[in-house]
Amino acid sequence: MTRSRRLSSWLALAGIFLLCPQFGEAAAAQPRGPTSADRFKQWLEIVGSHTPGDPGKGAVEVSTWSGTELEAVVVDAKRHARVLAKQNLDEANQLLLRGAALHADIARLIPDDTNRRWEKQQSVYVIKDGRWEGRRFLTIHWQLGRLLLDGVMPVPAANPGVHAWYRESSAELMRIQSLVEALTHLSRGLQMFPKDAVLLFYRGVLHERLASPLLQAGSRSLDDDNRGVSTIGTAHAELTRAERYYRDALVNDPDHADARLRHGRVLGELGHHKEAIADLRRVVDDGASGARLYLAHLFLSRAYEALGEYEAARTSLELAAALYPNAQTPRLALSNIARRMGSRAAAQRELQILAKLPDAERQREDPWWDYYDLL
Amino acid sequence: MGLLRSALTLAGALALAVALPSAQTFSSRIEAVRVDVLVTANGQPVQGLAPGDFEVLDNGVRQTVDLASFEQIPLNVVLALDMSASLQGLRLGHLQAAGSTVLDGLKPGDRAALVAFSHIVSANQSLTEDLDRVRALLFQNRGEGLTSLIDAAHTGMLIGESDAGRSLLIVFSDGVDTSSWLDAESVLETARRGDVIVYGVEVGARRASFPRDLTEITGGRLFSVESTGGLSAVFTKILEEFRNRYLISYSPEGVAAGGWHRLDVRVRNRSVTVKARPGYFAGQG
Repeated sequence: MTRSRRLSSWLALAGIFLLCPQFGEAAAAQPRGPTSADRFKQWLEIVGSHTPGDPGKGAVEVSTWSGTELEAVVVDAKRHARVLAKQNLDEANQLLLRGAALHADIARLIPDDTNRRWEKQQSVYVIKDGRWEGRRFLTIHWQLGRLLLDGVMPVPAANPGVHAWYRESSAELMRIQSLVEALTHLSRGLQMFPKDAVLLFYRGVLHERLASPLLQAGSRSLDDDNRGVSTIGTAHAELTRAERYYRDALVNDPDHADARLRHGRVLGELGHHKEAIADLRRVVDDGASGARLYLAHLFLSRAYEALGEYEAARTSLELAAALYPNAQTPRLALSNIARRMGSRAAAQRELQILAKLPDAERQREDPWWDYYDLL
Repeated sequence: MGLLRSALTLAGALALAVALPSAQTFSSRIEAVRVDVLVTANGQPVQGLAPGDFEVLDNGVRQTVDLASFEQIPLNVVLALDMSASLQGLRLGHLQAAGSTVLDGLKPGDRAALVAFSHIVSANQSLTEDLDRVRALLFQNRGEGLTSLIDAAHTGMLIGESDAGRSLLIVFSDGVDTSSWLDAESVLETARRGDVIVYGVEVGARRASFPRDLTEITGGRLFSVESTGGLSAVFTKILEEFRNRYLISYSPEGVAAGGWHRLDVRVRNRSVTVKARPGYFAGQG
């Protein structure tokens, strides 16, 4: 991961994650404007001309409409699709899929304003370095996309386009760390595709992130008036959920290496160290390389250490350090283990190595720092 | 200076480890345990105490205190300072000024080191008498990134242990740990087995257990302040307080050699507050 990518992740900092009470008022009623029929006609034209991935003029225009107008458009679109389906089912479904693609692009590519647009719009907390720093509204366009696809016939779960949309949009939501939206999104996606290992894996990652010290600290930083509506559980509860989703992902795709790596880590965090070692050893034995191998060695070291197997832990850390010689984590861990084994001299040797590491983050490349961002 | 350090080394590090089989009692008076003790009355350090004024119970067994020094022994001061994203602009300036104030307060023979941390733990020097170099590093750092408080505290303690002198670690953070690899319990275990006195300074309303536990275990103190504006005064107070601690020593008698030794330090016939580490490990460093 590049430094700029990492920095942007910090700014998002798993950033927007907790459901919070509604605040502010919906934008004042617009002066008399286009009718819902006018809006729907406009929408049909824009959907027809929209190029997926392009925040074109049409998408910008739709992004300015109120939530009430957009909700009416979706109702009209689904009604229109039902009529159209009587002549041409594929064309009807394509309309809904293209509509969902338009709204996903608006959500992804056009900066949202902070005004409330719709009474059903969710507001969330923004978290930075473990503390909540403000609130904002979620874009409503992911929700509009989901509503459109709920109209796909005969059932959305039978349509490969719907499946692809959920996979791609879930990946995007995880990437930008919009965790509340991802939670809703993955819940709906998994209702339709309960055995999809990719969606199950994302859901596991989501709960593992919610268990992270960063987000747990953010949750604790909320005042008592707000804490009651937080969507985040305790670290143990979130890790337990993550474990279940990773396990289900592996049942459906035993070769999913990242699910196995994370499953191993989560098992260790939950205190199941022997089971963790079994998973992590398999990741190593299956030929993992690079960051995945480094992380497997790190997590193995933690599990061995918890079992009091300090030599095995030390070996795992040495292997991790060999993969990323400028990473600080193996050095810190080695010095800690040396200290626990009673060797101040060995701890001091590790400290000397740590002291010589370059200060610049880019040169210190340490995949552990990106663990919650990596997918 | 060199002579004094040698003498300290001979006297042994604080809570000197002795490699004797378990269940064996200390029989030699060569091995010594040193304990760093703060004695205050009405918040002010109490001076002029003699060895006989101290009462030390080692695992409940009364010991004879051989020495209670109140000398100006050269110090090792390690500053572990949070320079994560939450410390920017004026707040970072306050922190850098406070660190600089500590360096200003050091005397010839004292040594210092800096651990600047965000998620990156930057400890690119060992203890040094070249305080200008430490100051230059202090002002090089910028506030960015996450907070690896536990990793930094561990690193600071290791630096403090790198010399046999009296070591003070000042840990400052304005938040809670969000990115450490090491877990709090194993670092607290290192603190129990070590001899570095940790003082903590935290800013803001949030209270984490790790700084409180760390300072308790090492016999230090935790200061909580509302804003960074008063940091220089707090850092100065910490340094003064540390200089005014007694260093008492005794040769343990009548107690098992290995394992955890619970310590209870009191001052006879005085209404004072005594602060010292709650115990030490013998047998393993």
